[in-house]
Amino acid sequence: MPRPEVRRDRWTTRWGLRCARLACAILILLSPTNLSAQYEGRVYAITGARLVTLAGDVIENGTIVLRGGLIEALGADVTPPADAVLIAGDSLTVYPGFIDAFSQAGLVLPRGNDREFAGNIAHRPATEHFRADSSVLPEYRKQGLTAALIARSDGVFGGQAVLMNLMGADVASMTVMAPVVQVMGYQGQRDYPGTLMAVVAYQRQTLIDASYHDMLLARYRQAPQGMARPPEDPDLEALVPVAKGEAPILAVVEIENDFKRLRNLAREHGLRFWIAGAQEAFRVPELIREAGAPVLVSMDYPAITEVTGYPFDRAFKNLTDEEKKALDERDKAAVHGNAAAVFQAGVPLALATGGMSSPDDFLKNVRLAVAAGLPAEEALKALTITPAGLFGVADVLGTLEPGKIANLTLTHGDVFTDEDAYVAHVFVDGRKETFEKPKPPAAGGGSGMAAGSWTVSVSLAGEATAGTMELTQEGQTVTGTLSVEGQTVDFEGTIIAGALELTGAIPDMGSVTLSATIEGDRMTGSLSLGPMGSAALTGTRNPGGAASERRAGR
Amino acid sequence: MNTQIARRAAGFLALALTLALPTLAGAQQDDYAITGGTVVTVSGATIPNGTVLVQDGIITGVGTNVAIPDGVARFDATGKFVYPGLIDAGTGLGLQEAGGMAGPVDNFELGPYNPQIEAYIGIDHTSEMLGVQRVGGFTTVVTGLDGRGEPIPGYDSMINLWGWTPQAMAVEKRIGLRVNWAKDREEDLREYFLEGKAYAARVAMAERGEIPVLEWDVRMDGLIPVVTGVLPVIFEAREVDDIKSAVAFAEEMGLRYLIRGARDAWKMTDFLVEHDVKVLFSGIHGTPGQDEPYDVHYATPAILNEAGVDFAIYSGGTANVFSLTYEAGMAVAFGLPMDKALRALTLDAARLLGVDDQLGSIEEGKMANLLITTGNPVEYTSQVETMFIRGELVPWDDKFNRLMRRYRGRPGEILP
Amino acid sequence: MSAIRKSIPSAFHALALTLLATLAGSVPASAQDLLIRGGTVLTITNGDLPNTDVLIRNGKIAEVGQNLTVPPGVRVIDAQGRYVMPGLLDSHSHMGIDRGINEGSRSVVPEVRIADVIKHDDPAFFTALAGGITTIHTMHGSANTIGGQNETLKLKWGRPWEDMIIEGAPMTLKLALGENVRRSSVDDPTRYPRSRSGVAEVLRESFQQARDYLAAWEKYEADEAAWDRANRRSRGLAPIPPKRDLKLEALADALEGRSILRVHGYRADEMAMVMEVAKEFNIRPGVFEHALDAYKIAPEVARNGWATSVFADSWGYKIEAYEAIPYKMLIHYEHGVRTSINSDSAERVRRLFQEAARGVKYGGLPENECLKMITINSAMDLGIEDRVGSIEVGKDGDIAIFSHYPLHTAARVEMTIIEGEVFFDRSATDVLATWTLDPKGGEERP
Repeated sequence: MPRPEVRRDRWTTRWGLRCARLACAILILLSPTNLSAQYEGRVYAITGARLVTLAGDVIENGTIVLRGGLIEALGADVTPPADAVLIAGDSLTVYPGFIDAFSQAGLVLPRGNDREFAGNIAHRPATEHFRADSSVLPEYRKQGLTAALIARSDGVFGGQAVLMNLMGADVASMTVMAPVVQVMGYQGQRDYPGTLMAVVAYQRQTLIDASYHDMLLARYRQAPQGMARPPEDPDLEALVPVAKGEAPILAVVEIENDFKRLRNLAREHGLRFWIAGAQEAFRVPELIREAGAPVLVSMDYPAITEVTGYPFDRAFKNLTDEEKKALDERDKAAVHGNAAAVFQAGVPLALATGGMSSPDDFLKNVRLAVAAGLPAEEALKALTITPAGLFGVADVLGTLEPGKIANLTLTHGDVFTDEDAYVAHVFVDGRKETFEKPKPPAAGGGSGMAAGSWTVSVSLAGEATAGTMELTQEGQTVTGTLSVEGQTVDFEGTIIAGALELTGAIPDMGSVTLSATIEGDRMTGSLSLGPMGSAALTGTRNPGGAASERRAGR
Repeated sequence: MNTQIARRAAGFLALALTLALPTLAGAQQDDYAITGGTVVTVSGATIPNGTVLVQDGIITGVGTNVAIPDGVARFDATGKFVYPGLIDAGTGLGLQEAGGMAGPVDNFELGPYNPQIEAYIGIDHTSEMLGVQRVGGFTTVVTGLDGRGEPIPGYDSMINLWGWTPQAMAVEKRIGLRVNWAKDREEDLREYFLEGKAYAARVAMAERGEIPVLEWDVRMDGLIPVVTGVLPVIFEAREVDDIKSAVAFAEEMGLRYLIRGARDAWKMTDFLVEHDVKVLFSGIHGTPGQDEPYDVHYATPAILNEAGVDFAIYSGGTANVFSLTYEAGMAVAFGLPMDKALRALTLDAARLLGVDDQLGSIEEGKMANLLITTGNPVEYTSQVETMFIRGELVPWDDKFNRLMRRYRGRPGEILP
Repeated sequence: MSAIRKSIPSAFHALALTLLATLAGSVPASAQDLLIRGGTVLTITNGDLPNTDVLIRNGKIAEVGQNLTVPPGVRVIDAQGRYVMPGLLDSHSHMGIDRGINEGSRSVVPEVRIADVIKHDDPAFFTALAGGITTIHTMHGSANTIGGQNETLKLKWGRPWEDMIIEGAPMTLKLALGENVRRSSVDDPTRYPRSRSGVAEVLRESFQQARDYLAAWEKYEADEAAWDRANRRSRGLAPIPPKRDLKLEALADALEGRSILRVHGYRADEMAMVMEVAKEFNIRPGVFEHALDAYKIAPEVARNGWATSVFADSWGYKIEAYEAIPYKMLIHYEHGVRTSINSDSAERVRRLFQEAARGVKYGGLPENECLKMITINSAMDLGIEDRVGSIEVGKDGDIAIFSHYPLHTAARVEMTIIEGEVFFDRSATDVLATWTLDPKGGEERP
């Protein structure tokens, strides 16, 4: 029973107001790519670069020409056209644009009391809640990710996954392929099904219902007279190909037993499935091999304490520190070796951000996967041709070939093995974005810890006032604004080990200081207002920010 | 089928005999002698075929050659055992009825510091929770407010589980002042206790006429017995750091004290012995943490005993206080000697709480809290057949026995 | 009907287990072979046998007798001076369940299954093993009138959950009465029912729906058979089958006696109500959970053939437990009401033998009757008494070895064996007396 959309509208309105007040201007100014400024017909030629085409041999010292959002030509002896903007690529490696095979990039879902029922919303595309102007998209592109399979992970039958390019003016123009696949997850809803066990029961019954619905519709088309009219149910209809085993379903699974739940359901109902997330695939390699299903492996590494079986070797045991350390090392290696284990199982492998709290560690975690045994060339395929093939877009994405979409990832150094390597540029639909060489993270300041948009409450003398904060962070340096009751104050300062210290000035009042500690998405602290005394301040980061919902259900 | 019925009937007969109730109508304090049983004095040697003489609620003779005055009633305990009544050194009895029920809840007072509060005065002495504990052999318990975790809930009281008024039940109205200790409360409690000391000094000066009469402060007045070392403070502390800081605090203030709870006591036996800490341990049936041995709480009493820590045990319960004998039994299974387990429920509990002159063993001059049983009450299967409190024969009129008699005696099937 | 009678999951389940069994056959026989030498064997169903050996082969009890010859290569466990009894069963538990035991969003959810959500690495499994438990019945909570399908597990700590499930154990269905159901509806003011009468009505309505469902399938099958026989040219389209409804199938299983009702109830009137409803629908008698006041209607419970699974002496923790008495086992026994003692708790499960001992203390039940309450009676609650619950040739080699007579103080579990494999061995387990302290943890022990 989907909830009425009224709440979402209200929410949208609220967001819209905030946008109008603050963000519209800021977003345009701060966005690394000023899209409107980029001439649609611009032609680029990257010269003297190492072209890893994945469609033949690597071309050392080659040139690649992009025109009209497509790859026009590439090769060792291609001459840049006269109308091209030249990019000297002598220290760059050019890859087909990386594809994030399972992602929540740019999805802003209603939360809290506005949370939607996502038990069965199979006819709805995930892009309903995709925001083309989401401030997190540049973070994904910075990891070399140019396209992503966008899917909700909060549903049971959570709708259609859609392949999106990760830069563009609007949802419509960013869409590469829709729909790609139906998504199924194990998240309880606010209403039935609330618990995992009910989710599994609901999966079973819904699949039965879909097949039955299909049978009734066929029967009704054949001979409607004398038969009750089957009710309209677009969600059930959308699931029919899945229930009949004609189309795969993308199942979001995390822990060992989720894999088995999925396998059992698939056996019962003759499902074909792909697996997304798959953080504990290394615990069930046989199951994966037997299923032969493609696995979209999240680069989220669970803490070893959360991994199934953690207590087996440890609980109630009198272990020495060395023994504990050895077990921990073993388990960490297994967690990092997850993608390698999937590769070893001989099934199609793709890599994904889905399940990560932020994309910032994506390439770092890919390197850990490579270090733990995933061959670098396999990691590259898992970011390019494998997902392109799975998602049915191998003719337009996944390799560097003339005529394909101009999605490119350009790196300094080998991002699969070298910690100092980084993404220098990406092209998405032929549009360029350039990144600075990342600064080494300052000691103590967690990256992205303060950044984001916050809803805050400031209480002075027992009276609380709501406000908003928009913070950006570079290393330990934090800048941003606090808006309360139409007043906006600019702040700057530092965050060191979770402790935020900012100063700003209010006209006619002098300086104000803000001290707070940030833990996850919560901020608590105080605002010192000079002669007016001190106000307590609490805040929560708005969804879609740097940190968001963590692993559920352990 | 017939033989089965016959066998069952025979079984019922045996059961009926074991459950035979004392036939005296009502409970009259009287003089009497318990003869023929094995008398487990706890304080001294066990006396086979011994006699215990009780007069005016006091034990006046114990041994094999006790002269029994004329006219004294006799209880034949041949083939049975005579034990001192069991003591639970920490409960919440009488201050709350069944958990989750609407009804009286008198186990906390408002505010953080309530040294003026005495538990016994708020006890519902007709509470069903009291009588049923006797089935396990408990004649006496410490009870107190838990204060919902506030630092000073008040004075614990020691009560007998039989009596017509709270006052008649009270053994000690103030057995010790409960303090729910935590390391981070230390500064506040230091200030409060120092204030109490100063107040006590001023009261003494006023009594000597050295200063004018003070304005009386009910709370400060409540602190006097503990800051002057007359009564102990009973610190509830569970973890190593809390226990250590409580001990340091007590030593600094010169308090008499006990540590109650003491979950982590097994980690610090040297410390406890060195500082001569008296421990009331609870939670033998608690579940272990994953980073602990599976038998950590079962085996803690044995570890404390081996190390020479002075300790007794308590239940901390309200409804199932009688299960404390089972906790003691589990400690025995994990290495605690049986006689120490018994002492932890009798003489050691009495001694740690400062009432061993009245309770805890079968000795001349002590209160006649006595059991006639089929065996050691720490043994899981032993049955308490007869109980005396302050020398009175206690009728089995508790809720368990009342309901048992009522429904065992009901007619057969009445539903269609 | 056949389509729903034979639910697909159980067919797959059977297939998986057959495969496992085939695999097990190819494993060297010694993995599930043991000879337990010279203990006092408490068979439960056939008396106590001093100085007796128990031979387990391929996970099953092969022989019970004195001075058995040791087959080559079979491990011998010396149990002289010890007590050998069947592994204990906990008839009511909530251990090892992932992400919620109550689907509280609706009051009737028989379609949800614990088997779908087992969490096999719950450390409580190990501490239960250390208390001699070999089998648990892990269940839905009591927030719902009909809470779902429970699961019976062997505590094979360290193994995947498929290995823990008992092949062929009947389905059990959790029902709940009284305060917990009512209160869950108070939390959600729109959830029916709010009264005990309402609970009765919901039960009747649910079972009536299941009856109608069965009838619909029967009609369909008759129609289909007629259609099959009819003239192919003139018969028209095939009849439309009813939709499979997993909720109603679970209830239909109960109606047709394929599952055992496990009914959470405290007050006697509630239990009388369920017996009345069950009779109306001709549902086979099940087991009352907690059943703390069943002693008040013991003759009626006995006559209706219901059993009880109780706490020995826990009482007074809520108003429904205010009339509970520890003499209940005695009164049940006197009236022939089968009783098991359960834990309902990851704490109590570690010492179920001690709970059983309370039957001797309160009313002087015969000791073997008390042992039955944690073994064969619990197995009967679960419909697996042909496999576990006593030491008999042919039954599973599930054994608990105690240091002393299990109902006596000083009894400690030394070893727990499931299907011939040792899953707990105190002599090979870290215990407090040998524990070294974390240097940061406090004072070093002497």
